[in-house]
Amino acid sequence: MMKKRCIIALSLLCWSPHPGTAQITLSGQSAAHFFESAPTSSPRAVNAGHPSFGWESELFLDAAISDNVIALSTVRASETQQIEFEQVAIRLLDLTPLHLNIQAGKFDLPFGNLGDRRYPRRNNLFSLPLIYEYRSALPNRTSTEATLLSYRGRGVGMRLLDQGMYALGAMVYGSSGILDYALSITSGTVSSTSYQTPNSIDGLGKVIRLAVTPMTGLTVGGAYAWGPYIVDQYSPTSPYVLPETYIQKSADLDVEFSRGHLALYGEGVYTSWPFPLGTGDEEFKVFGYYCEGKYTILPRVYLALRVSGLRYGNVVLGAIDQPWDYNVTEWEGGCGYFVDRNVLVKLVRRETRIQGGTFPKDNLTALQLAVSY
Amino acid sequence: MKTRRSTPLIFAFLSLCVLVLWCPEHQTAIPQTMPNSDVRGRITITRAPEPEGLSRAVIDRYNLHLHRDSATATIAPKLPEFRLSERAVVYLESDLLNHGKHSPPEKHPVLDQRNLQFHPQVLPILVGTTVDFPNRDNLYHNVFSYSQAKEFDLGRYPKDDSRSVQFNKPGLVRVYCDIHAHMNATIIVLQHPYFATPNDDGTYVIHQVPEGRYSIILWIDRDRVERRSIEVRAGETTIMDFTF
Repeated sequence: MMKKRCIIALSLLCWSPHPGTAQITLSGQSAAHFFESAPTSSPRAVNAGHPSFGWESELFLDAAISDNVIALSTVRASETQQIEFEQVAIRLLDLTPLHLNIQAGKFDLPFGNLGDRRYPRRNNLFSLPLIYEYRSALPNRTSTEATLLSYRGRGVGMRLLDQGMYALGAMVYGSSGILDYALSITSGTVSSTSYQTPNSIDGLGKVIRLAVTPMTGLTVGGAYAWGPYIVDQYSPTSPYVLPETYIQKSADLDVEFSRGHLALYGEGVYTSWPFPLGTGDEEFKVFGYYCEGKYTILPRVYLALRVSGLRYGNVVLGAIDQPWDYNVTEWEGGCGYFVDRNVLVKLVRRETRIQGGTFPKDNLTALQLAVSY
Repeated sequence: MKTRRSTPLIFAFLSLCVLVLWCPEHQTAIPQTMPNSDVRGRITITRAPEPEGLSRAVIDRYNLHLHRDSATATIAPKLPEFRLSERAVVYLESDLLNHGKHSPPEKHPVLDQRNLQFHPQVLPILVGTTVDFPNRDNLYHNVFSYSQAKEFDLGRYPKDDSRSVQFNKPGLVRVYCDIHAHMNATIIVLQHPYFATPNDDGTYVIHQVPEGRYSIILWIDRDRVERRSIEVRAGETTIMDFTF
């Protein structure tokens, strides 16, 4: 059965309805920034508060092999990250009268509406929303109560959505009228993607997404994702834990609205992770959200503001029913100036409030130069 | 008393008027339009240039959930048929022509946003002209320019809605869409009306050109591709062909 599936997958990848010469496009985005955070050791602090410089770069190598086949790849690097292929995907377009499209390889999961705002030139601010960036206390490996308690507020566990959510797998997507749909099957889930740990999770994650665009400028989407998220079978609490039986479930509702010089984005995500503890399984829940607005006040100049937060559910840890991590609220505001249509300068201030722990307050100021080419 | 004081002033004013009217330099600075002084010609294209941004496949990676026609939104529209009427302009250049006073047209020229392209891709206008920017696509565009001759940002507006911009400064205005990076157009803002958009067969006519020596410019897409000298004589049609 598996062999048959592999043959079908390979046939799809090799199939080209209109063979021809590929048109190859090399483009990219780069950013250089100066930033300084409060001198704390909170998860949002940078370089212990020392003024720092940083950079990041994404190179996009795209090939249009034919009218119906394209290949995408993204190479990403930064001052803290080695060069790596963030995305390597093949898209087969318009396959049937239903206009079905297929994507296979390593791609971003169809969950949420971050889109190209993940890149500095398109990001209205400096950071990503908390749900994409902030690490909770819950790791994607089994752990003990004591360890989990010590992790609270330290930002060493999973993100609610794993940054760009790049995962290995396949996806079917398309449109019908005002409806867009996508279904993906991947190794890993939205919080524990195969971007970090390729093919180390037993079982497949699934995502279903539906979005409607009732009018130009307004898109409302919803997604549901489920799948195993624990990466190995090592368990200090029980030798009989089967990671594939612990299924993360995530639901998303996202809205995007724009008109004139105003653009608004919002997203709310609810996730639950059943987690094996020595005292029995516990359900770790979290709700995360962000609302972001951008307004162009003059040609070249815009203002942007984002508020995002994470609200953790209660579990019994250390015999006390308490939130399993400290709630976080973050405000980020700034302005951007387009030196050229491809050159953007941003000045951003971020204020983070962590409700508990050693570092309840944090902040960051960043000046960033972002270019696309 | 009042009459006596104002008499020398009136005399001086009248003298100045006479001097200005008789000044030979002034006579050349505002050329008289003569009938039948047309400049005509044909543009022959031997190699059709590809429009910028379409010479490569433009792949939008993150529009899976945003556009209706996913296939066409993923790869930009195929190269449109090369149409001179949309991508070429012929105009005259001379300091002499810049001193005349010309009224901008009452009917606004149009720069369409259609099939993820601007139409035409190059638009010549007289300074002071107002251009309409209607959106014909079933999705948003955000037309803007950061050119020195005119900075504007029209924001996002839906299909069949339109915005207008008046161009009061001569020069080049590069127009883009903030949402679709491959879309671009050029507006050439001229101080005189001596320009022509060719027909698709390459023929063009610049009407009622004043007598004089000028440069004649052939502009295709985003660049001036040829400049030649031309002499226009009153009452005679001047022929100027281009091969590009």
